[in-house]
Amino acid sequence: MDQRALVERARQGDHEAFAALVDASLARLDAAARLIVRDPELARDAVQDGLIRAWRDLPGLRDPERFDAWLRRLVVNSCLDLLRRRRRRVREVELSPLHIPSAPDQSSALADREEIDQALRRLDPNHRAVVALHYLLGMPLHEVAASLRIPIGTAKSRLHYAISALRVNVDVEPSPTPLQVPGGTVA
Amino acid sequence: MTSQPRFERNLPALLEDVYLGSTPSYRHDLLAATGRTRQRPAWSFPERWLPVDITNRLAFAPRLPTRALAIALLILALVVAGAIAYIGSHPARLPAPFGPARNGVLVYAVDGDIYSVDPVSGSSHAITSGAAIDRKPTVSSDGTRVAFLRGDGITGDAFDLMIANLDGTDIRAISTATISDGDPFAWSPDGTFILLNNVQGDLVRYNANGDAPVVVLRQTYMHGFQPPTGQKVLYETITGGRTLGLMNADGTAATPIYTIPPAETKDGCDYGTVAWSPDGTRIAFNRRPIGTDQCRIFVMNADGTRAHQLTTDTHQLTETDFRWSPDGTMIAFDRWDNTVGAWQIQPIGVVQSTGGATRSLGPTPVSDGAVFEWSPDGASIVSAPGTVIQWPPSTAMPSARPMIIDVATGAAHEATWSVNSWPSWQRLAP
Repeated sequence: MDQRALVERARQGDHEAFAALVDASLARLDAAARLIVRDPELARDAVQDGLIRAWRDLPGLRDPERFDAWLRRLVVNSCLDLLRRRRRRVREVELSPLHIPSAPDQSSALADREEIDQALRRLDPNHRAVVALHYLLGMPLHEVAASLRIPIGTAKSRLHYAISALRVNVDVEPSPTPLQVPGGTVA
Repeated sequence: MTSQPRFERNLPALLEDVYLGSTPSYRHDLLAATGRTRQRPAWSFPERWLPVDITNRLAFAPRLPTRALAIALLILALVVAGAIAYIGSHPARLPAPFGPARNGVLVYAVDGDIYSVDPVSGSSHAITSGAAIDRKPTVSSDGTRVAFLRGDGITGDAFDLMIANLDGTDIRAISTATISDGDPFAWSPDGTFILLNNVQGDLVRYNANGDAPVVVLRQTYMHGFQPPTGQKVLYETITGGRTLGLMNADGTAATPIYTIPPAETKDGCDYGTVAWSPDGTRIAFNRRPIGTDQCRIFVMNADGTRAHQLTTDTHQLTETDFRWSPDGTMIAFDRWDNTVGAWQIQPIGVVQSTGGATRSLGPTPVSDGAVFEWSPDGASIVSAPGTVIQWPPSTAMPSARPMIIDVATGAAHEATWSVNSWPSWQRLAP
């Protein structure tokens, strides 16, 4: 059954259809949430909050073709809302031992993973959200801007800061003065 | 050339490697939780069964006697006819769509409604009211109408594109399908239509007279109407390279004028802001200076020739969100200084449009920068913290008092009113 049909059924209250839609996207939404909030439990809360909202408000979705984008923005905005509400530093996400890459040089690959994780930790949540939406969820920048309710220029500039910080901190191109956190503090 | 494009290319795989796993273990609990949650019935989403401008004005109307109503209508018709005759013999003077104009009211959103305020006296008036969330007011070039987005505050992504007279009359929706409040839009210079970029990347023409919307071009960002006539539109291609081009406002005759070579591109910087000079002869745009990690303002001719960096400051800078002054002699912009590796936000910068050093204007904004607008007469800038335009679009959105900055002296004073939107300044005939 194609996605549009599943969305139509879910809008009519078919929870199995909704479960099928969730299964198709849950792993990636969870990954994006962990990237943004940096806390596995908080990420779980954000995903759950976003998906409950999605189920509850699905009858109001006017365009079934936009289900994916709608779901992603619900979850990402749940992440940012949770961070704003908590107003505290959250426990750092732990790299999952289940995802050790199969690269020939495991120690080097693990070092890269730790570097990217550390670099992302230093970013502001709003910058991490842009990275998650654009590079992990594959959304074009105009859709990122729409999801975060920010002008396209702001989305582009946030991505610019994030990429600059990540690139230097991940040491792809060594720099004598490491970049610090662009944009301020962790919520 | 730097290694940066390669890094950006590899980043999705790197992030997937670090974060993407199998289906989370809480999948069962999550579906159990949604299973326990009742869906809202479709009828409870007002916009699904009533025009949005009606849903926000549900009220019991008292019954009027038929005779009194007929007399009232007759009087009203006479008054309207008299007004039309008067206006017809005294046409209102409207400003030209581009260039300097006289300052009118400032239009802004706060707490989900649209207001206008006289920046001199501080007196404000509601243009819209009600339970709906009204956002992103944008005054037409002739200063007579305002376009804005309206949502119900429940389904966060469901907005309608609305237009209204500045006195709050004739409020109506001109969109026929859901749009996002992140979708950028702009009035045509003659005020007859609005071009909007939707989340699919389509450029859609919404007609102010209510005619059906038309997709002008797909996979295109819009960067404004070319002054002085507005017959041409500057566009950016979404696919196939970082290219700017010119096309007719109906989407025909699209012609590329400038391309950033692949080795010189920078995600998040290229064309972050693009803006016409008020006389339509030059275009300012963002790009990365070759061999640097900066994001600076460049200026080129309208045909894409003679592109050159605008500011001469030697610091490691990011310059974005720029605005030409109404007379085209200056450009104001947000900027961050990364010389010491700390992304320090700077006060709004202003530079002569012919280039040179930057002059700071007003206080240092919040870390996310300022949302600002030139006054139509070019003497001042109204600036609000960038945080006022963040999610969520609700009555609980953060608001702030804008600063009014004198461009000549740099002196700034805080307004007596608060906004949670980009302020839009009405233009009046000089």
